[in-house]
Amino acid sequence: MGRTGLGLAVITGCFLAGDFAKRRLGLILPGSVLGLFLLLGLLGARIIRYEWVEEASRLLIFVLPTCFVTLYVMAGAERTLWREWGAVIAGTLTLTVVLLWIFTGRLAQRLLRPTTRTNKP
Amino acid sequence: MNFLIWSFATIATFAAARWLFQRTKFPLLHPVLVSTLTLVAVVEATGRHYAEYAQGTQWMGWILGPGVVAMAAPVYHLRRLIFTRAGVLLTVVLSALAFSLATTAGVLALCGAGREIIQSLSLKAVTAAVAMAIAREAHAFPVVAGIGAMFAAVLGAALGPWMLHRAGVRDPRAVGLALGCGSHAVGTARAFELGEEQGTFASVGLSLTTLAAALICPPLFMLFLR
Repeated sequence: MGRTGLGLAVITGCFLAGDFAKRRLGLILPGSVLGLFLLLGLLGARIIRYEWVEEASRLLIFVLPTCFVTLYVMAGAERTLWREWGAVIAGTLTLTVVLLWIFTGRLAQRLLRPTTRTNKP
Repeated sequence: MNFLIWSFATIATFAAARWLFQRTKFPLLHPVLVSTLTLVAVVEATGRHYAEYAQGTQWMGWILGPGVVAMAAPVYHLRRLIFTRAGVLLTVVLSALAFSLATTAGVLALCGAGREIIQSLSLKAVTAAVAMAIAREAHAFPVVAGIGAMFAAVLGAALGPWMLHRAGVRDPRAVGLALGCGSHAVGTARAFELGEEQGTFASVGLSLTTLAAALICPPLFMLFLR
């Protein structure tokens, strides 16, 4: 619990620092994303140790889907949008997501082919 | 009172949906999808206002911020793999992101959609927390961006591996990258079910797409999709 608490404090601190920097400097990147890069920088510089944030990170990523739900439910309020654009949105998403998988998969397969499989991660 | 009722309803519904999904492993019963639809039905059936629900669960939305920051840990953990294959991985991720933005924006523009819808849905390949944050900054529809991301994620879990197999993508690393770049966290979870190699490359795809989108999309939206 101690390490998780420390990790949560570090992660929350990075988020608040990112949010503060965003508002103070008027940056276009979201504060949470600035916080992400800040934490990456601190980890890379070994100011923060990976072990300190590992458990807290897992916990936050585990509860994240529940937090999405609260925002997705709000989509129910957008009745006009779904009535007018629902079919177009569903069709476009289905088509473009499938095309994206095929494009990415085939490109990756082509670029990874020359390397030998002994370089497995 | 709102706070207690709606917070409890959301957590309990999600826990039940997660239990159902773990029992069945049926992709269309993904807990995010099932609990969202259930809660929309509850709000509608009880005649409550969505604003009331939003107010009661506001604190849960705040957690998305630290949740995005927490993604730095898995990216850092995979740094050796990322550096070893940096050239190929960056080429694949940047091409996939460009392809996703261009195809979605192109199709929607042809259909006559407005700027907000185009920007929001162009972010479908980006994990929902980041997609919603970017959409909010661009004054688009964060909720629609989140729905787009959820759609891509659930579709990935349901059809991704089968579709990739049909398209001749058999290399497990390529399958993983395609699922990670196109269907983010849910696609990554599905990739881990296929194998460790698929899962690892999906994690790399997800991580790098998140970083690339966070850096590229906000200025891109400012310049071209205003």
